[in-house]
Amino acid sequence: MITVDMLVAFIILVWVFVYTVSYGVWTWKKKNRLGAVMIFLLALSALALPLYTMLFRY
Amino acid sequence: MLANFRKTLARLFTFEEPKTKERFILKETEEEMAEGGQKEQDKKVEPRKKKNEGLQLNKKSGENEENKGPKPDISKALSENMERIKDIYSIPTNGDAVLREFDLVVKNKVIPAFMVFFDGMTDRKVINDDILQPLMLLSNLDIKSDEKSIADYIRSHILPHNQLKEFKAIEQVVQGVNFGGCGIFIDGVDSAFVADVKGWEHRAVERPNTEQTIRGPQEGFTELLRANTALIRKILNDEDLIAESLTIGRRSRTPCSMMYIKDITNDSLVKEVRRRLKSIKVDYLFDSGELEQLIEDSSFLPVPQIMVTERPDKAASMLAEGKVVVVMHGSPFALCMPVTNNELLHSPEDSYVRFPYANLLRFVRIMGVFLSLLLPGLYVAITNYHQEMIPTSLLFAIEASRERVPFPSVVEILIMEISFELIREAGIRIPGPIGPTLGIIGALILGQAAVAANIVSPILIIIVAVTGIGSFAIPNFALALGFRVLRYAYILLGAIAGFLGITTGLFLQGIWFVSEKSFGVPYMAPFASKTAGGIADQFARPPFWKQEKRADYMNVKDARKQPHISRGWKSQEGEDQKEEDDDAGK
Repeated sequence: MITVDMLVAFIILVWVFVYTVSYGVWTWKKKNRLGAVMIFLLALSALALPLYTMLFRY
Repeated sequence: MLANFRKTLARLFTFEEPKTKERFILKETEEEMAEGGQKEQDKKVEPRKKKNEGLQLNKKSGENEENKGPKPDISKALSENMERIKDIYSIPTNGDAVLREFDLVVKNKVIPAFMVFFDGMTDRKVINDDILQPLMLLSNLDIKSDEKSIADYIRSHILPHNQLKEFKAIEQVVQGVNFGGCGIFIDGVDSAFVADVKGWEHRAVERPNTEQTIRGPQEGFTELLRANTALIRKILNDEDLIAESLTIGRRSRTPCSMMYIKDITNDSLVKEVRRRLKSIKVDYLFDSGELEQLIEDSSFLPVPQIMVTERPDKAASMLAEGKVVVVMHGSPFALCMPVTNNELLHSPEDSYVRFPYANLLRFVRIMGVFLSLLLPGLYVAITNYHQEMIPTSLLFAIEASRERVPFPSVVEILIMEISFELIREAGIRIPGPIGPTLGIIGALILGQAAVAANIVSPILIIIVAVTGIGSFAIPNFALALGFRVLRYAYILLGAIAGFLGITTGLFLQGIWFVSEKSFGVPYMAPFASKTAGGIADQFARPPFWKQEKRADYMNVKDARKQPHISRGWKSQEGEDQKEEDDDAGK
């Protein structure tokens, strides 16, 4: 069951994800391709891991 | 409206490239480069003129302002000038503005004239004896001179005043009169004289109240600009000491003096200070504290980035180190810049006492900083999270003393800290003799009563008292205030996450402080960023004769302040001994 706490955490996670992806886009445009890929991976893990913990571990 | 909302939303959710800020950097001088043996190389790479160019942003506007000057607008007709002066000073409504009409006789010709000055700001005797009397009585003496112009004749023969200036613009005359001058207008002359006849009431040179020492000079600055510059000049006795005059405040035109030693201080630093001072646009300035806030690098850093001192000897030593000192009329505090966090922990007494004591005092002060900043936070962290860290007997003692206290330790400590701040603030505001009494009442009765009423535990009284004493050990008042503010953050961090919170706080504070600069000098120099020359006389103080160089981060023109062997008698003694040994050998 999704609680209010989880919803708030989800919103924050999405915000962090969007912001980090936009930073990755900026890095990509600055010709730092490897750096951008790593930031995308970081953004994905920053979203996926807490979501996994929230939805499947509790 | 909608566009703005979208913009804010986009800014909140997407990364934007930060705008690059051009910050002033205190670059090395040519002289210092030469010392490093790089001069030739640098000459090829960069022409000389391009050195210290970090300040050229506003150069054009500054130059224009300097060259422009007010337009000459003084009329030859005396009545016209008189009407303008009456209009400017609202005479006769303005009670202290005095306009005195008189006649003077130049080569058997009667010429009407008038003078304007402020009663109370000028010296009556000087006006009567040195200005009015010569103009009215001596002007008809038979003086042999060939001067044809009345103005030249009066300046050369009639007015025996040492500071007499001639202006062509009313604005300049008004500025002079506003600052204790006496404006003299003569019929038929399209200029006016301003004689410096300042004579207002002022405080004498007294002991500095906020920075008292046992050794060293006992003079403090006063509210008079020229008295303050003279106090500094008297100590340094150096013809290279420059006291540049500036006025700040669109309405008040408060006179300030920017002082530096021209062959020591980095030129780019002088230009930067001048640029900041000249760019200020406020109506009035009442104290150097306001000026400090207008020129400092970061307003949000809780600790000061400009050193404020009441002591002429400290200001002089700052100048000798290659810093710039700004003295403002009406303020007994001089501003010294740039300054590092470490320098704020130094006291003038460090130089006056022998170095072992000075080092002990410095160590005590650093202890004071740590106690003032961290002790309450550490107490909260230990009692809430890390009980295992304290010996069992002490833990029992603490717990026993807290047994009857109904509040959690963080609330308890906040109550006591706020009470302590209240007592301190009230002690300052209350008139002289009652102040200490209030302190005693606060400390003894209130503390004792709070413990008896089980509001706070006795150990907390000790914690707050030691924190307060640590805070008083910090020699710079503004720095102590800054740490007082930060202390509350550490209390909260200790309450939230124990040592982890305090460590996070220290880490964040470290990042913050290290990233700051004071007039192009890293705030945490010479520790971070690390500079050549080590930390001599920064953390620990070497003997006086070993302090050979000025701080490296200041990038001064003359890095050496004394030769390698400053005690000539010592080397002489060695040589004599050698000669004696040689003679004995023979």
